[in-house]
Amino acid sequence: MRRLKLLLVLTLLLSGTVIAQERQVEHSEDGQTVTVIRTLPKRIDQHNFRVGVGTMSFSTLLYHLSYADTGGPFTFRESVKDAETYLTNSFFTGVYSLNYSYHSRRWLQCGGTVNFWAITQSERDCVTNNKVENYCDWGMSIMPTFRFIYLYREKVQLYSSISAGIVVGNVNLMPCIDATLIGCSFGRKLYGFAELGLGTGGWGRIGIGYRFDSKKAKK
Amino acid sequence: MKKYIILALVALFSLSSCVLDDGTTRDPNKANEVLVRKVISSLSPTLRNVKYILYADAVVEGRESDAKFIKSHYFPNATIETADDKITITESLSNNQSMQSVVTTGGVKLTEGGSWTLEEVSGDKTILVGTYTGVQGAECTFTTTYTNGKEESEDYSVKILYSLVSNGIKMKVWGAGDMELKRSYTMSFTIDDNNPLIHYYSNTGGSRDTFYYINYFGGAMNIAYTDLVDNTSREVNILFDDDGDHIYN
Repeated sequence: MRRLKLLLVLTLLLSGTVIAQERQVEHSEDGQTVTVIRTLPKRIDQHNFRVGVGTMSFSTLLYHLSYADTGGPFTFRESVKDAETYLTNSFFTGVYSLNYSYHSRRWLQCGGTVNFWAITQSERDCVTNNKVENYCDWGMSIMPTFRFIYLYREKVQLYSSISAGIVVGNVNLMPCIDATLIGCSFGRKLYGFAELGLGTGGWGRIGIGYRFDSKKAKK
Repeated sequence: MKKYIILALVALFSLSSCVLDDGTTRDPNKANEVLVRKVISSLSPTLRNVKYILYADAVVEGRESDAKFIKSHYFPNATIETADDKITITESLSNNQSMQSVVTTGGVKLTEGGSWTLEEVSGDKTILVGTYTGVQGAECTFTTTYTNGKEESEDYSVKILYSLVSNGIKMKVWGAGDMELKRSYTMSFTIDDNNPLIHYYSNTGGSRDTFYYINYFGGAMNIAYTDLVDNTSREVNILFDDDGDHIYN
């Protein structure tokens, strides 16, 4: 069973190299059937830039929970001070991402991703409703990214990715991991993408990107 | 094409951000409530100690029915030891320990101008609860000073006009008190004699005092609070109504 699963994973990853041909049946004007075989290139050599936004994930929530509130109030004076103010709703900004990758072989893109998110909240005076203090917990993950393309077409690509790096912020420095379980991009040069994932990028991500040929591809 | 990109960006922002957690409720009187509860939680047990004085007074004056009424209402399972100059009331606590309330009369009746002291004895610890002068139906003075020997102290001097009623003790209370925690805060309260607090102390069981915050029906109190750390002050005037509710002004 284990061998079968491993074989399935390898097949998916390498299908981009194996399925290198696209067959299309066309009909000529004189009624003859012609089968056209288009061969997909082995190398792409394109630069990819992406910007996107994602939802909250368990890992981003865990990152903020790792900074434990000391609790309280513990004294009468603290109780009075605590009662003089109230907290507004805490607001999650979303996970904003910036990604660059180089599409070398048809099935592989290598690059890096930066994610940023924040949770904001205000403390206000109960009587005057003036803002007393602003609270902002923010985090930024910096990770190298490997994207595996298992369906490559001119306008559509299906892929998965894996990233691992660190999270920095005003809370803690921690290692992090991110994975796109399945993603789809649609478009030629300017494209959109949608992904389902796990990790610091959020469970759901969408965005836009731009790809262009590198100098190597133009030669 | 631009339209689709803009639509996509709007969708991005609208779908990703969210309210993570509800905040707390804004209540302009929340801090006032904290102050009032602090004063009441200190004042009420102090006032309720008057039951021992009432009992001792009834015993000394020979008013057996009053003594029986008070004992049955407030400490029915207590054992009483009577001496010429003191009356000791021993109650069992829930943790298998006992608490003694000792009223030292000095052999002088309150009606003869006596000044009685009330002490709490628990184990080898004796705490002077307060000093009492006056009789039922007349203006009585109850002064109490508490300190934990370190940095916390309370000092009250209140006058009480009390009477036994069918469901307990009714008290009219006025006077002033101070509370302090060094390097933290000071707090003082005043209750005007023109608008005394009306407090009903009702207890049908024999357990130790419980905090009846709601048993204040009428009267007004002024509380002044100073935060010694931030050097800020706060003052609150509170009015109790006949239904046991209170408002701030």
